[in-house]
Amino acid sequence: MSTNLQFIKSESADNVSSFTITDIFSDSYDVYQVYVTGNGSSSVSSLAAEFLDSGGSDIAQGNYDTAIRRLDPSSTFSSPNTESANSFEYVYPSSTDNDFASLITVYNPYETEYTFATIQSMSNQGSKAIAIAKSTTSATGMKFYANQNYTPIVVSVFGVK
Amino acid sequence: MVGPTSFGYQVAGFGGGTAVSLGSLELIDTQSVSSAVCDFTSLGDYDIHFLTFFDIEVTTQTEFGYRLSDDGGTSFETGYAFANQRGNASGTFDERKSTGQNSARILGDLTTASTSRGSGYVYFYSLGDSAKYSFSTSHATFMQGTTYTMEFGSQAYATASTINGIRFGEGTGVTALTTGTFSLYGIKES
Repeated sequence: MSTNLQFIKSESADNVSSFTITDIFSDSYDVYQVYVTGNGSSSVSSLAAEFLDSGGSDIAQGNYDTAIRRLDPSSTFSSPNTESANSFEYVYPSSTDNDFASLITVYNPYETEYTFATIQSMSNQGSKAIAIAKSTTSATGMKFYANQNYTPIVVSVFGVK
Repeated sequence: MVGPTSFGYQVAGFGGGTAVSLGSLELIDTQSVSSAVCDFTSLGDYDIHFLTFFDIEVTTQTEFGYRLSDDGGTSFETGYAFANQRGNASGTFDERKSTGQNSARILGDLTTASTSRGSGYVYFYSLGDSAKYSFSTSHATFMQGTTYTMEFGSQAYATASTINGIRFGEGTGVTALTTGTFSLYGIKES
């Protein structure tokens, strides 16, 4: 049997301002698909994430670069790119109580080289982005932030063979 | 096995029509249509669906997209938001967007020239969840006559409803395509 997409883990939480999922990256895969769905609660402009090492520390604090195309169905598109940030934005629920869905494809997180990601999302606004964690530290997990609460957040991780 | 490549992996072979397991990527159905729309009305029990479309040809210069059904394909809903970025190899990039179109746009201005075929993929989220909006993200590649074009974007049906059917077709009316091949997959979380 072909085994091109392999389920690793799915976890969820409700009414949390941050959510950590551990032990998702290993030497078993080079590429991962991380599906993130939920609700960003109220008054949330954007939601962000970062990569964690095995001790739970951010692997690239102050070293995330992101190029983003923010796709607003009701306004001019924008590119809120960032350099040397503490995390990377992955979806834009805008400022109201909106559900969201996002796919973050992660490349080489476990290797001791830079970790890359491509992102495509939809909520009140859509987005497409590339992100890099400029760190050679091996990542084994991810942390997701909301400036209010996730109500809820569901993270499902797959390895790509 | 042959088939398109997305995110660096080969997703599945076309023409199967039977359940094929690729680990957590499960083929629900493959359809090739001619002078018809493409309807999927057996979506299975998945939180996330993945669709590939291949060799889309249209009857007139128009867009390609979908509508959703919550009554098993008896009727298909209107009222979609989308925000897409279209780019031409000639250097032009356009915004294509709406907060209330009768269809969810995936790509646009596909022409009837013999080279104007469209291919790409769509991810669907939360279709079967009665409490959630239905979202999708897409990326397409096609020729507008002799001009290479790509279009990516995001779409939403902002009504909480249990979706159990998807129709693909041309124009905002989502009517019959000249041709097209579609494969719908469920992503199994186990």
